[in-house]
Amino acid sequence: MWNYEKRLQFPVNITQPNAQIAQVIMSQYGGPDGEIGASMRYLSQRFAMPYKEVCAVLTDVGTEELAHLEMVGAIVHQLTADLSMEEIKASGFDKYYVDHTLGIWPQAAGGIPFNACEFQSKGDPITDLTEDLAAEQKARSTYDNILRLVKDPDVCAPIKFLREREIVHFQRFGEALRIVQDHLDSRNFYALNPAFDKPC
Amino acid sequence: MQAERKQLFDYINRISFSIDDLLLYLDTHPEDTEALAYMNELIPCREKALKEYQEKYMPLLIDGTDSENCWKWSTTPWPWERGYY
Repeated sequence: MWNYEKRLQFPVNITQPNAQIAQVIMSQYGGPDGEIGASMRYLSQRFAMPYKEVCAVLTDVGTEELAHLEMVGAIVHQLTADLSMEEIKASGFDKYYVDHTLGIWPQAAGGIPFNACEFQSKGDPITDLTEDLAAEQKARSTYDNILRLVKDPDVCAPIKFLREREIVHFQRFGEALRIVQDHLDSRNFYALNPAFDKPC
Repeated sequence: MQAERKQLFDYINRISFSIDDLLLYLDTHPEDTEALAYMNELIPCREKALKEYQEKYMPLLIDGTDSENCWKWSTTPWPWERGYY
């Protein structure tokens, strides 16, 4: 289960609204490499993971991703608060506004809704952790792309924090993959799926 | 008063983040005694700061404060609001 802590993992305080940037950053809420997909991926993969330390990494990174989801939601919310109708029209935010007003909804920057096909839970520890490593790098690239588009320091600070966390998570997933391999036959890591096959 | 509150809130964020980061490290290095000692040092500092903040200002945890006359959890601001501390 989870307990809520009434604060963000890193503070978000944006005073200058910018609907165009909001629409771009929204992709890290519900886009292909966004935080909801990250959290659901790791929290779902735990159940078939046979090694305790790796379950710990999946649980704790999956939990931190929920805190990141909340931060991205706060960024988009503050970037779109107090917008005038003129600003909504001029920034191209009207296409989002017509369906969601100023509510936060998980979609990619291009409007594609979030769906579970954006991640896998394969039930094979090597496969799942290799996906997790790629997922962290894809999210890091997205944050790099966002940072090339954003100039406002109030927006850059939390985005830089999130980007750095992707790198730390990548490191921890690398160690988790090593832990899995240490349990397997080094002559052939793929001889069996430790989450499914009975070792002989 | 407000500056003091913000300073304490920032401290809670910083020390909590140290714990978040160290937590992931300990998950894959559970027998690193130096990291363990650091974790055991951080946890009481966070607890102390949380206690002080919640007694003086508002709850950050559901069981963090006794609300005698009012359930402050639902009547104080939420973290996604601008200028939250």
